[in-house]
Amino acid sequence: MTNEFFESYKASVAHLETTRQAAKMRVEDVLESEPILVHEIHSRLKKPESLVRKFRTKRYEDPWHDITDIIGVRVILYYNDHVDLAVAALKKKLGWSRRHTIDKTENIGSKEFGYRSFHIVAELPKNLSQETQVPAGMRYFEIQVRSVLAHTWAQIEHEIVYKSGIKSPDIVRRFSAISGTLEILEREFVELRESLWKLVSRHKEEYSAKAEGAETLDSARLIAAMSVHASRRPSGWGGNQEIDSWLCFEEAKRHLDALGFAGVTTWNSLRSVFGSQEYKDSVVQYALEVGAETQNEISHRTMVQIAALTVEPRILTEFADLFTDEKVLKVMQRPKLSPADQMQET
Amino acid sequence: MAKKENSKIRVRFAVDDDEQANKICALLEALGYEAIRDVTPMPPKSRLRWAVHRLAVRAHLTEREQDILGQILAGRTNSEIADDSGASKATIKWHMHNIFAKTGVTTREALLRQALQLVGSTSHHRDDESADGTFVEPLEKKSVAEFGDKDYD
Repeated sequence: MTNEFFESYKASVAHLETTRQAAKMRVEDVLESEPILVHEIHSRLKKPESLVRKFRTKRYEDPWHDITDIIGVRVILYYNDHVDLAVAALKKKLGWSRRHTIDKTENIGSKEFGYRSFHIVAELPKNLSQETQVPAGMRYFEIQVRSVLAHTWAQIEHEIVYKSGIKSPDIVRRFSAISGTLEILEREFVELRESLWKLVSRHKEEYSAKAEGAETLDSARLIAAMSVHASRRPSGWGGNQEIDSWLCFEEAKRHLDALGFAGVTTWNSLRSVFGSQEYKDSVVQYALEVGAETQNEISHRTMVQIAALTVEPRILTEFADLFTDEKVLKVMQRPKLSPADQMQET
Repeated sequence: MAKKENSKIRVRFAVDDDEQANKICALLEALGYEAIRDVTPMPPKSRLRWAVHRLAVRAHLTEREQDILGQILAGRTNSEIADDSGASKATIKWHMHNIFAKTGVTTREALLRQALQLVGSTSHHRDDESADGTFVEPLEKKSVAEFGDKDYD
């Protein structure tokens, strides 16, 4: 039985590798559309040596079916509260096995600490191509989800406790103590993340109260100013493609650099660009280009890009990376009518 | 070797040089055949390069999109691509959005399937370990490595 298994393992290694890649992509596809900050997605094919260990301790009727982690994907997230979001999304969007899936936190009592790690046994991507076939009977792969801190804890614990074979209660207890501390740190990280949004709210109140701003913009101020200016987009950088809230700041920062290059550093100066005829013409052109009914459907991102390009066309080459929307390029590179031509037209 | 499928006749051919393969594809397609280059003898990296090229031609991808597609099919995540190229994660996400729109799919998994369909391998090589047109180096060091965790190694 065991030999037969290893024979088929060896014969299917290439297919297993391709399937592993597809499984990793399947996980990434789900997480991609969630507002979750992913640190790393790792995947691996179980080594024959660790399978040998499994066979030594357990009997399997059908190893390809019963060993559910031959292909494993590990998701490491920045924030602890994103772990629950990720698990919920994965369970909702992927087929998974209720029988095999364990939630390690369920076993943690109120007076105990332990690392939070979720294991989901999900359905394997199959029939990737005519040629890619995994052994019959193989149905699942395993997904582990944990935070960066929990991951760090588990890695070190594995080295010091599990691998060393030590049974000392004192050392085990000290590991539990660390994991208790990590719980506090996890909460603080989440709060710090949320505090960025409190900053945005404060600036929003400020800008809506006085309708002007001479202070130098930072990303929180830019997000706030834009959502006061075009208020229909609650996340600040929404539009024809929703940008996750955690990406807002990074996005805003890059656009801020482009604006800075164009000499636009305050809300007052950005507003005067928004008021210019050239900017307005470009926005109308863009709306026509994408078939937007009203300018409310244009994202903050696009507005800022058009504004920056209106003032300083060189941004196109200096910050080429920002311009992923070909329609913005098309509109901003259109031949401009000279004032004489405009007269003729009217 | 030709076999009929979806009313278009699939013609499989093997040639070493990408440029030659390109010409053969163009010719066969102009004649109304579906051209599949047999990539069995090629190393994974060359298979990937070929699949990306084919997808790019079909979907009219820009150079940047082509570059990102190649990295995605090689198994890299958005963040990894962003970190390496100095672009933001949001930018890579936008590029991915455009790639999806142009190729007519909505997931990476589907992109991989498309890419695997575009390259072929001959069935008589089935016993060969690398016969499925995979883009991954077989037994890639990192993917099978001991990962320092009792539930994962």
